[in-house]
Parts: sequence; structure tokens; C-alpha cells
Amino acid sequence: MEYFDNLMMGFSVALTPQNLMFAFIGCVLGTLVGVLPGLGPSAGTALLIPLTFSLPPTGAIIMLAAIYYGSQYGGTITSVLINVPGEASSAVTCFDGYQMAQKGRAGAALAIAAIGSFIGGTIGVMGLVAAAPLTRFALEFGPVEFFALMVLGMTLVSGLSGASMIKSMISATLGLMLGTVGMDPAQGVPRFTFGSMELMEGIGFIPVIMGLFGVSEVLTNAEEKWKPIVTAKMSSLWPTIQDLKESFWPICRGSVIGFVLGLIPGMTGSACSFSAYVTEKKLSKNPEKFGTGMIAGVAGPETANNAHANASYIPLFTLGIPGSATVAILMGAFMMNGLVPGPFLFKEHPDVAWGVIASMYIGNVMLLILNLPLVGIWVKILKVPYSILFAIIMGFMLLGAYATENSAFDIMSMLLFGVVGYLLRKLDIPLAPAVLTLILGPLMEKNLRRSLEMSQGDFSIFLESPIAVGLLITATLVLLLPLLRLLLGLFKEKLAAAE
Amino acid sequence: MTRVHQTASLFIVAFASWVAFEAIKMTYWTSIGPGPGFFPFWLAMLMGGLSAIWFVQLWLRPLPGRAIDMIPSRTGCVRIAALVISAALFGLVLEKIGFSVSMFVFLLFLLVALGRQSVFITLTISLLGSFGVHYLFSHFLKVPLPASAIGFLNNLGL
Repeated sequence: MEYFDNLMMGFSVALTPQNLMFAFIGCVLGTLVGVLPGLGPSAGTALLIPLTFSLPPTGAIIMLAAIYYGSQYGGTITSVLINVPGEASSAVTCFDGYQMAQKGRAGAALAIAAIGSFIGGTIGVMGLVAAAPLTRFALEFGPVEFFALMVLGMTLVSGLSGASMIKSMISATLGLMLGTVGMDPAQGVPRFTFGSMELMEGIGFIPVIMGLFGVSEVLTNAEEKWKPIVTAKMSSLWPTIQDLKESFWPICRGSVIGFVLGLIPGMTGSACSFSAYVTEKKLSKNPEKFGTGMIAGVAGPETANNAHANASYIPLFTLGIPGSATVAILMGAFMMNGLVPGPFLFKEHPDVAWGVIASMYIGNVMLLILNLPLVGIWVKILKVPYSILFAIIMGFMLLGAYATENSAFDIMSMLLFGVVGYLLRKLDIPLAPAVLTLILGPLMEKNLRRSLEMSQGDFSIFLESPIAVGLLITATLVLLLPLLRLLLGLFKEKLAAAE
Repeated sequence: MTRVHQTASLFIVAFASWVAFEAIKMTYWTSIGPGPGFFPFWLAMLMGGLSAIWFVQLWLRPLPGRAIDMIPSRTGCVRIAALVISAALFGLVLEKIGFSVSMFVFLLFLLVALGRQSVFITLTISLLGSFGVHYLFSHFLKVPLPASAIGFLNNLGL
């Protein structure tokens, strides 16, 4: 009952005209970010943070959260109409969505994707409400448990990023290192500042994120051949009864897959939508028809990626651990507004926590109502030439980097990390672990040092707490997973050779 | 391709060694626990170790493809250079000539360098993206953007 009351209080916050407007703007901008090829949700969210500088904290977070889940809706439009995913988690929608568009059924594909996204997103938010009591458990955590939890979060993000574990760990370590730049929090000693006053307060996370995700994405796209965009013809937006029938179970299954995988930090939206697609193909009576325009191939993945986007807030809200790069950026936005996401948020700022959760329900309804009639406008935006698009994006990033601290130093910092990000992309080193650890790094170091101060330098303190032991064992298993896979493969090869 | 990746791994090892060297110069341990150098030192050791493993992995299992495939085409190089250099110049002159003028010149240059548009579109986007955004940020979002330090531009309200 207490949580129901809190949720009602959240609705009273989210339904104020001002917050409704912020959610609306966030949904529209998020869809735009999703629609534009070459601008992912992480870069888009970082890019739009400057717009929230003058907003009250609740309004700022409502808007940024709406940008994230709105981008999941928008990504579908380009997948269906031009066979180019607006963001990675919609890539799998190209298989059947584009084929449906080729057969003149783009409207039905987009409508089913929007309905599935709405249901998946709503289930994700309901899960977030249901998970709120978990914060009581997390309130028992001390520095030892928090350090162990952050180690687990870091290993999960590195282990599940889909890239090589070694490269992901290098990226995570880079983020942690960047987090140590500036004044040492305990002793007030400058670290890696080279006498620069600008670096005394540490490297600003917004210029780093804009550089690593935004600038590097623009530079990567700049080297590709820019072709004019040709969109498939739009048909009626109304799906048939048969479409709805065929989509019912894929939407149910997609909701469950997206929600469960969204709870695991590091599990990407693209892995969720791909899992949903594979599940639908396996369960279908006509698996051979997948890739030719099956509506289940659109409904399942699209539902899963939205359920994932909303469920990925659960580790952030309950434990203070961001599960993905975009959620890490959102965590940074919380911190910029003087809020620390995690169990204490529900205790100290219930209006913000519940207001944001309630706004997600409203945002999902807004996206459903908005997106279908607005498809035509998104299609027109898609036709804007890349040269114009990238000039505007780059201009906005320069503005954002400067406006954060009113410092031209941040512009140079963003450009430097943009070039670093571009080179890391070339080397297939994932960027998400670096962003996550850049934000978690200072907290991780603080909890490690506090733990060791409590034990007077005795590392066995990490083995005295059963929770910490459990978390560290899980982290070790995640780290050893690639090794176990390798050994299993070798064992299978030997068995096959023996036979 | 393998050579490029191996060079990168060696570069990271060198970077990690430098961080470890700098960290060790700070206090490693104090009477109450770890000092400022403790965390960065172990991070550097971890990064160096991981990069060394990456180097060995590449040596045992070379990557397919040629190093030249990683280099962008001539057009790509020109676009990247245009983007990076113009943005760096923008950062250098922003506080001297003010936001509106520097952003106007930046957008004008990029729109011409990245692709030919009509003069009307180029000018409209440049004007809206510079003077329009300045007005929006300073009047509606209450985010101050730098005015020009040059007398006559400042007198014009730029």
C-alpha cells in the first residue's frame, strides 16, 4: 500500500503541466535521436543534457529519461523504412520490418512496433515499481558491499558488452583512470592535473561522454559514403486483426525477455532484441519465412528492446548501478543536479524518484499516441542531407560542451576524447565500459578506501561480509566465463576427434 | 591489421607504465589506509597487464585484413580534418570573438566543406544555429553564452 501511495504521489508530480511538457519534449527529442541514423541514444542523451541546465532537477531527469526510452521508438522507423537502424537495438527489426515495407505494409509494421513498444515499456516501468522495496535491502549495504557491487557491475558491463573481454576491461580501466584525475577526495592532493586549474575538479563527464560517443560517432560516419536516403512507401497505419493475433504472443514473450535481461547490468538492448527474434523464430511454425516480412519478427524484438530500456533503470534506482552507457549518462545527470541515484534516492527525494517513474508511464502513452501520426514528419527529417545534419550536431555538441562549465577547455577536452573514441572504435574497443566506470570510478575508490580504513588496511574485510563474498564470487565467475567457454570448446573438439 | 592492434596494445602498456610511475610518486599508503597513489597505481598495473595479454593474444591468433583498410578514403580524411580542425579553432576563438560570430563562421564553413547546399539553406542554418541559438539560450533557457571581447563586436551586442 505504501508503494501505491508513493506511486500516486509520483503521478501528482509527473502530471503537473510543467513536467508533462518536459516529458513531451523528451519523447519528441528521443524519437528524433532514434530516427537519425548515426546518432545513438547515448550520444543523443549526452548531447541534449545542456537543454536541461536551467530546469528543476525532477524536470531535467524526466526529460532525459524520456529521451532514452523515446529513442527506442524512433530507431524502429528507420529500420522499417530505409533498412538502416536508427540505434543498435533496432537492427534486428530490419530483417522483417523492411521486408514488410517492401510489400507495402510499412504502416502495419510501425503500428505493431509502437504497440509492442508501449506494452514492453509499460511492463518495464511496472517492474521498476515492484522492485522499489528492494531498496530496503540495499540500505543495509556498507562501503564493503558497495565496493563489491561496483566490481560486479563493472565486470558485468565488460563481460556482456559483446566485445572481447580483454578489450572491454581495458576500456573499463581507462574510465576508472579518468575518474582519478583531479583533487584526491580524502587528502586534497592533486592527481594527474599537470598544474591545470581546470583539471583540479576532475575531467568533466559531459565533455568526455560527448567526445567518446558523439564526436567519435560523427567522425566515424564522416568517413563513410553518404548516399541520399530513399524511404519505402507508407501504407495505412492500421494493422489487421490477423496482424494483432499473430503479434499477441511475440509481444508477451518480448516483454518477459526484455524485462529479465534489462535487470542485468551490461546486457545490451541489441542482445535483448536479438534474443527475442531468435525465440520467435524457434517457436514459429514457419521459421523459414522469417526474414521475408513476418510480423512476429517485428513485434517480439521491438517489445523486448523497450522493456529492456525501462527495466534497465531498476539497477540504477535500487542499487545505484547503471546497467548501460545511456543509463550511466543519466546517472551523471542525476549527480549534476545534486541527486545520488540508488536506495537513498527513494528515502531522501521520493518526489524525484516516484515522479520520474510515474512520468515513464505517461511518456509511454505519449509515445504511442504521438508516434503513429508523426511518422510522416520523421520520414521528412530523414531526408535531410548528412552534411547539414552533422554540421548541426557538431555545432550543438560544441555548445553543450562549453555551456556545462562555461569553459573553452571543455571543448578541447571533448575534441580530444572524440579523437580517442574514434581510434578506440577503429580498434573495436567498446566505449560503454569506459563511460560506466568514469561515473562509478570515484564512488568505487571512495568505498574501497573507506573499507580499508575500517579494517586498518586488512583486505580480508572483503571476505567477512557474506553479501560482498557472494558479489565478488559472481564477478569472478563473469570474468572467468570466456576462459570456461574456451576450455569447453577445446574439450568438445577433443571429444569429436576421439570419436 | 594485427600490426596496428599490436602497436596500440604497446602504446597502452606505455601509457599505463607512465600512470604507474606518476602514481607511485604520490603517497601510496598512509597511517589510516590507502593514499592517493594506491588506486591509480593498481589501475595502471591492471591496464598494463590487460594490454600485454591483448598483445600476446594477437601474436597467437593474428587478425585477418590489411592495415590499409582501417584508413578512411580521401574524402573521409578531408571531412574528418574539416570537422576536427574547425571545432578546435572554434574552441580557440570562442571567448575572443563571442559565441554568435564564431558559431556562424563554424557552421558556414562546415556546411560548405561537408557538402554543397544552396546559399539560402547555408545562410539560414548558419544564422539560426548561431544568432538564433544565442538568443534562445540567453533569453529562454537562461544559459549565458560568451559575448565578444572585441570592442566593436561587443558594442553590436555580439
